[in-house]
Amino acid sequence: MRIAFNGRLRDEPRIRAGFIGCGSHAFRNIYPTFQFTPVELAATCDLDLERAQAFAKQFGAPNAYGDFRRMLAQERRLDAVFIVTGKDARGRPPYPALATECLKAGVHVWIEKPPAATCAEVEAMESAARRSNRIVLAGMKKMFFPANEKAKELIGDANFGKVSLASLHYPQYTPTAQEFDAFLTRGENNRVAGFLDHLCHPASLLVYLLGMPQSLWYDRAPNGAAVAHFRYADGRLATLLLTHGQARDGGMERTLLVGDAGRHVVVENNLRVTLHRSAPAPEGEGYGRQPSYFAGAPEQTSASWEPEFSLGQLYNKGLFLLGYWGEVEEFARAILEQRQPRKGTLAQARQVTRIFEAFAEGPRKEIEL
Amino acid sequence: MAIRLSHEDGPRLRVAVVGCGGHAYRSVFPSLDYVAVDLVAVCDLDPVRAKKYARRFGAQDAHTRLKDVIARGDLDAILLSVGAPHHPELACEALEGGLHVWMEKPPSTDVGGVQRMIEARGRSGKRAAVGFKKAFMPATRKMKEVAERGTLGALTSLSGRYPMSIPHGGMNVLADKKGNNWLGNGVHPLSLFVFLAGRPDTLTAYAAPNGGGFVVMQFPSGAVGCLHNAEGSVRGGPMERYEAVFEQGHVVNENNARVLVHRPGLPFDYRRGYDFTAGPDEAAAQIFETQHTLSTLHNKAIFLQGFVQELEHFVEACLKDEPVTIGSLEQARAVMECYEAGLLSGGKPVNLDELPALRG
Repeated sequence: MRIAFNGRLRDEPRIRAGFIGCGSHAFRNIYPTFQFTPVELAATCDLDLERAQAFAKQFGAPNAYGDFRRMLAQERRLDAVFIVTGKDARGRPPYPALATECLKAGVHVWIEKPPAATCAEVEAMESAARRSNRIVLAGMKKMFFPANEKAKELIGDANFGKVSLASLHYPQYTPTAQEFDAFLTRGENNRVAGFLDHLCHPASLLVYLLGMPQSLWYDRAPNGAAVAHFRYADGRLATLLLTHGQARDGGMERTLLVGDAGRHVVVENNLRVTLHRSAPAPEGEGYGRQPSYFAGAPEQTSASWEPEFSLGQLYNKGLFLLGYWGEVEEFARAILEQRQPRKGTLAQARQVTRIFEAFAEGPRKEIEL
Repeated sequence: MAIRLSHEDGPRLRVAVVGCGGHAYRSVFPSLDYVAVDLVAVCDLDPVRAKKYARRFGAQDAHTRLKDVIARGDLDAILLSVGAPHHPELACEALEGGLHVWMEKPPSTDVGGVQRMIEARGRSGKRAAVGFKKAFMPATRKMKEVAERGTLGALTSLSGRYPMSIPHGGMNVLADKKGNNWLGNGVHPLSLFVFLAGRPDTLTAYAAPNGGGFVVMQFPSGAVGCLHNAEGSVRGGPMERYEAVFEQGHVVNENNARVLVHRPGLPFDYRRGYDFTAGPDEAAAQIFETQHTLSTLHNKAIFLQGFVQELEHFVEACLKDEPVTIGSLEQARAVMECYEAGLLSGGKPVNLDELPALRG
């Protein structure tokens, strides 16, 4: 029996999961999703056993471990393991090695982003997943934001036409060529670690909305802000503004998707989604002759979606708005339904990692992706 | 405010949550991750549910009766979420049993219920608080901060909107202690008005044919307030908007997620001014809006809507042996007086001091 959304008990299948990592991000954003997803937390694990025990108590797990191999060996009937850890000493995510070992032990694996520092590491996880016949979901949350899912739905509508142009904003420092080189070839833990960690967000959103681009060209301002230009095989264009230096307040991200049929979609602050449509001007009132803007029937004009923050609902919780619930729910459902995840796949993780590798090739040149 | 994560050290209040329902599941239990409590026990009439909740949220024990919770002897407080009709009885029992009590809103079905709790609190010497989250929302606290700073002058008027309706037959509603939305949720905007402007002297409720209407309040300071009971408006999208107007400026709270402080100093030339951006930067409106990009605490609904903060204030008051200053039973009584006045007004002003006579 599990406790359902409405607080009542419901008899439905759940996956039994262990959790490697008891840090602050996991505390705020991943463990709490288990209240609302079909996950039974069987065990927690952290290098700090006392912390693992505290997390086990707080989040309802019967067991706690200080060693993940012991957890895998001793926990019977584990279906899956969640892995949310910090980076290694070189600033790289440890997920490829940890995930591969867990896959070999026969469990499905959920990993946080960034999934890896190189495409080769992602490919190794893909091979391990295939050999073990288990799934891996990488927590690229932007693909699961309700606002972004709505945007994807809107641009997929036949009336939208084809997307011709997209623009994304994300506040992120872009490293210099020297910094990339030091990180990748000498193992120096520098600002590239942060770039690897965060580029996942806009890169995964781009891949989710429009697919994998064909090429990248970018330029970098002295302070680390950058403009990145992506070209698609079918001619579509996308721009990513890495707005390092901006304020951290409301409206750090903005997504614009322009169609070729007189419509566009804007996602502001991952909260407000607007489908912009132009109502046709009344007969005889062309450009410069239309006294009232408020023309057109309701179904011809723009439409907007925004949650309320009045009621104790689920949809206004950060866990839901920021895609954490979605990425855990999809993982659990994929396991229960014995299918591959629809999003957050390792194939998408490889695409996102390729975009990172492309940035490392340096600015002001066309880079094939 | 001192956030203490559940696994961090420091003094903690030993508590039991009484009431394992949907609201507690969505909003109360998750808030405990950030408040200095040790969840020792849970209590619910349904023993299976109580056990499940205990296991899920790390409590040692599950109970089905409040008297067993009190009899444990190892608790400091209870967090009560069982519905207005039951809050006074259970809160009094817990206070008299030596426990501090936090309860969800509404505190009772009438002023009398709150009065009984005030008396029980007085006899017990324990702390009691009501979870009026609207008083704790960061958006409301910013409005209050602007009011107290006084840089915009004195508050002159306060308006708000909430999809709401006051039921007809107010005297019967009170007598029957019937649940209704004016009680269940009307206390939300009422608590915000009381928090910002104090207990009104008079309240007049005007009803529209579909049940909505306006509630007009006059405050001791001379300020006036108007709550638009916007029954019929859409739910799901932004539902609330509050505006506090001062002598030289105003503050707007949109959707409890965006606060604009409109300051004096912008040039205003009625006949010849053509540039809305003219004037010094310090006269431009200030905007406070949380971002929904980074996984911080301030964009979590349990913080945006004041759930964590209302619990934290109660817990800190108990741990430090200080008075509850927000969400006190006295404020709860003022809110319930407004609730009753709204039921009994029928379009005529009700002096809150004369409510006992009106009730008969």
